[in-house]
Amino acid sequence: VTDRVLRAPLLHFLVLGAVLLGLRVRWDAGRAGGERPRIVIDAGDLGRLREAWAEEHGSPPGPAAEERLVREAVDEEILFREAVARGFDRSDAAVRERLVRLAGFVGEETSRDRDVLERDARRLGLERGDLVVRRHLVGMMRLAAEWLGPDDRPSGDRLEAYLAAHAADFAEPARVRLTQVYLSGDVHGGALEADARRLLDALSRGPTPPEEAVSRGDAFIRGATFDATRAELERTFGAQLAAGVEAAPAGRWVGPLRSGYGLHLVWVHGREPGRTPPLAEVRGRVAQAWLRERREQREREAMDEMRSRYLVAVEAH
Amino acid sequence: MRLASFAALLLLASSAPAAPPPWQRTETRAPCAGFDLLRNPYFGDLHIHTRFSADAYIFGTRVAPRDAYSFARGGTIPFSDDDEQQTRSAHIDRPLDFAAVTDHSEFFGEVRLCETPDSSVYTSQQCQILRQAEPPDQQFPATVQWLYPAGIPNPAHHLMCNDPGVDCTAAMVSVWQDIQSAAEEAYDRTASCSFTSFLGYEYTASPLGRHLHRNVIFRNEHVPPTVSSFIETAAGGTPQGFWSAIEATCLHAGTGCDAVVIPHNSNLSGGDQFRDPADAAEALRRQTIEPLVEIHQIKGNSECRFDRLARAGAGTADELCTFEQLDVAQEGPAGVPLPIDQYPLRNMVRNALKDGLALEDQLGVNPFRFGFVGSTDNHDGAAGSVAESGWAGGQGNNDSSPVRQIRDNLRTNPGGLAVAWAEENSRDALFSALARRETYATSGTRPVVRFFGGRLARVACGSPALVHDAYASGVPMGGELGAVRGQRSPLFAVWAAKDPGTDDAPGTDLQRVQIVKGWVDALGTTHERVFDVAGDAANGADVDPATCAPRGAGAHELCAVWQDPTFSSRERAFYYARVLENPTCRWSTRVCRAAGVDPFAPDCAAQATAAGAAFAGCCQGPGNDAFLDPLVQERAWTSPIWYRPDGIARVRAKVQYGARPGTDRLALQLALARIPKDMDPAHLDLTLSVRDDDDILAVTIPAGTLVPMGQKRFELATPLGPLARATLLLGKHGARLSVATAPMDLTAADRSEHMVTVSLASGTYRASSTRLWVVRQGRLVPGGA
Repeated sequence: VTDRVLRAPLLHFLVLGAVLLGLRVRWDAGRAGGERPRIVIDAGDLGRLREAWAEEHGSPPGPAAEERLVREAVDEEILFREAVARGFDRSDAAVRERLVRLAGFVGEETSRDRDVLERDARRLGLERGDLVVRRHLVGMMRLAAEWLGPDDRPSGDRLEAYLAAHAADFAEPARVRLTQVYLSGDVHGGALEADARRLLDALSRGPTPPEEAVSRGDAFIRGATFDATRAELERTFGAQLAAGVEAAPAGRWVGPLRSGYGLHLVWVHGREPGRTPPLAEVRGRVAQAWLRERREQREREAMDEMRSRYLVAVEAH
Repeated sequence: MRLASFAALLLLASSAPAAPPPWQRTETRAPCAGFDLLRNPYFGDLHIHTRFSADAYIFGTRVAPRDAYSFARGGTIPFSDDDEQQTRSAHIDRPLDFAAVTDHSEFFGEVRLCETPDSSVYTSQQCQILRQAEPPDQQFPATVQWLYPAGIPNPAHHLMCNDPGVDCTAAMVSVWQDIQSAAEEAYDRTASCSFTSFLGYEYTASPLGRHLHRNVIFRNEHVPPTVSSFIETAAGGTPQGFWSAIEATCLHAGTGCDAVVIPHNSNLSGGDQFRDPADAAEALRRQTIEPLVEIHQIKGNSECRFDRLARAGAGTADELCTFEQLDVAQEGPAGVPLPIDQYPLRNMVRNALKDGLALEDQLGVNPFRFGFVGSTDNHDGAAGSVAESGWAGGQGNNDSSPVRQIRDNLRTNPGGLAVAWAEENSRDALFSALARRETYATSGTRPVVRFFGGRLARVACGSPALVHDAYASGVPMGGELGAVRGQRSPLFAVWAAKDPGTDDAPGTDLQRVQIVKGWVDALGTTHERVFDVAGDAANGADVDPATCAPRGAGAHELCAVWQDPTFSSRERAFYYARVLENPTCRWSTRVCRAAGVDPFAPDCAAQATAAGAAFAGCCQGPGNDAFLDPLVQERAWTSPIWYRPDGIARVRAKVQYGARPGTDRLALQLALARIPKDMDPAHLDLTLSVRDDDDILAVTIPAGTLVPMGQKRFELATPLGPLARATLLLGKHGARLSVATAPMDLTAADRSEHMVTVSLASGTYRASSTRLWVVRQGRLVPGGA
């Protein structure tokens, strides 16, 4: 069964996404030890962040927004440095293509040799200075951070545990099977209540079995028999009837219960209690939810690990 | 039902339903506990946008498909306020049964790159325009700057996609995958069947502001790996290029993919949404790919149009067609209000339906055979947010406050719903209802409407077997009829029950039921007529102008069995039911009153002046406006039933089950009152199929195989495949095809009461007859016989 889940197209999301972005990346924790490198956000950096914010929002950032901006800028710098440390800037085709093109613009020589152009660009520090390269590398690193490895398969055990921990999200509501005899408000007018009580008495003597009783009432557009949850009964008949059915004992006529259409006499055949479905029935939904949470968790862990290896100083505060 | 195709389900199914549905199960899922052979109405919204739509993003919408599905199921989601901050929130009054998020596919990739801080184009001006909060007067230019490629003849992706290192295609695919994940997470595959999500998106071709927009809705999770937009498909024609893409990546791909395409907003198409087809083949293609049209949504109604000040309509004299009309006939530079006599007729679906009949007389195929759905087209993820009272708006910060709603969006409305009659709430069941057009549209409320046409033996209002008998001897909404009662009119049964509403907001009583007929006469001239068939137009119900509370009573239910007094068996016609509720206060009336302006007050103008210039529109109404009304008469429109003189008039058939395997037999006789244009056994193949959830019989008789035996009679010279005999009579009184099989295995034909469809195809001619078949004396036979 696990194989079937892994073959399901939706679950290829992450892997496929990375492949389509031309990335072959994975997360490896960096090495600790030695002096922690420093990341400094100075007054100039802060000014630029505020300016960019104001341009987009029409007003300067508040304290909370500013704190977030700084945090994001620091994370971006960390991701960039980590990407370079892993050599992504040398291995990635898109980065190299960009550097070749930039060298073509700024270089004095009109060399056609792509290697020469790329070397020139690096000599000019363009792989660090160019925003496009920088953001591409940051993006790669983020994908690497949320990368799910072979240890992150949505195995049956894991999904079972997830389902157990989030049972309420996947619970199947209770169902009731019933037959109703309908008395139309339009047809019975002022005699509705009395007619319904008289019919209830008549049906209860014996009592009349449900399949014979239906023809004693009026035709109802949604039919006479239902296998429904309380919510479905509410949407079909209104809350009052749904509540009445909830309280009704099985195997006898109860009512009359009121709806927006008239009155109803109800025979409950049986009930199916609510339950947490077995994993096999909700596997797709559980796997989606599990993968989403796992990805978020991986990225959080990786960011925390990376942050722990830098010293951050915000000098403008 | 073949057990092999069902094997995957046995793992899940505790008890399979006794009768098979008339569709195949293509999914791994549990059958629904609420399965009903005679079908339930399921309420949904097939047109919702989230932040993946560039325009919604510009309007401040930040919710994703996951949020839209959550909203549909009862969850609370945030909405943009005037400043594009997410300070508002709302939840639906009652959950939907199904929904489809349909974001604009054109700019999936660009939007994804612009919302991803790590992308290299994140800080570009184009991306900033998308994200920034602009003042109201800047909103339109920002939208145009993003959407203009959808309005030009040779559309291209935004320039950012050409930057090295920028891969808009990969970003587009990642959005499509996000949408798939969200749909899967929302889809209830257990026997509870509490909610169905559909995968889909919107194709947004708007040449010069003429909306040729369509949503594609996929049957199941077997969807194409990427999406097709106007940009990728414009070279192949509009919309033909899109149809080609859907055929290539889905319908003909052999991957288990199936889809319907639903055009919408023909009211903004400048007359172009329903253009004449090039030929019969294109007409058939359209009829096949586009079985439905969305006739009601937030940007107006597209059923029909009547200008009450001019006392004239666009091809109609129906005064109820003032309903929720926009003033313009398209967007773009030519999007200005037009006098009613210059309004493009085919902007309105009823006119297209009538012209479809005339085109069928000429071509042999009706290109405009549309069933109806309604939906919202909300651009804020609020699937099915249709209540007139407390409406949160539907387009982000375009209509996020009373001022913006009344000043800028007075003619928009909370949109409609799509209702599908299906056996259960699963993708296979609902999709099949869409494909066979057994749907109706509502303007937002939830009345229950049945509509049948046919011989309708024993069908009478008040009969508890009405629905059963109608399926046995007639077709439901969306179906087609031949001359089922000879020269006499078919019978039509319509049965409507009011929206039950909620405890807080009880449903409104019904006022009346109408049948709308369109037809084409022998000269090729089209006509229409509206018949009141139940209820009372003069029931006196209205609202208390002081409180908006309804006054006076209508009906809880209305029912009629009707025949057409103007019927001619020689004239093609369609019939659809329109169900009208008693009047209630329009959303704008409620917003205006909250702002201190009472549209009913004699001094409305003075109140509006006091409230501010933005509220001047509050005083528009029947006295001074062609369409606006402070009251709204909510309504439902069933899909039409088509009468075709050359349709199948009668099916006689029996499946006899043999004592031993392989000794079953099927005998079948089909009668057509008129010989179709494309029926010519010497030169065209003739294909006959009998189908429930399986192919019971599928046989093609190649051209020339039926040998002429005299002037009118054609016969098989030798047995052909399963057929022992086949005879075709082509005479003055029409066509009759009789076939009988040799002894064969017909266990695919379930030996229980269920729906069976008999189809006939020849050239571009297609006809079908679906009825409830029953078991009599051990044989399976059409129930109405």
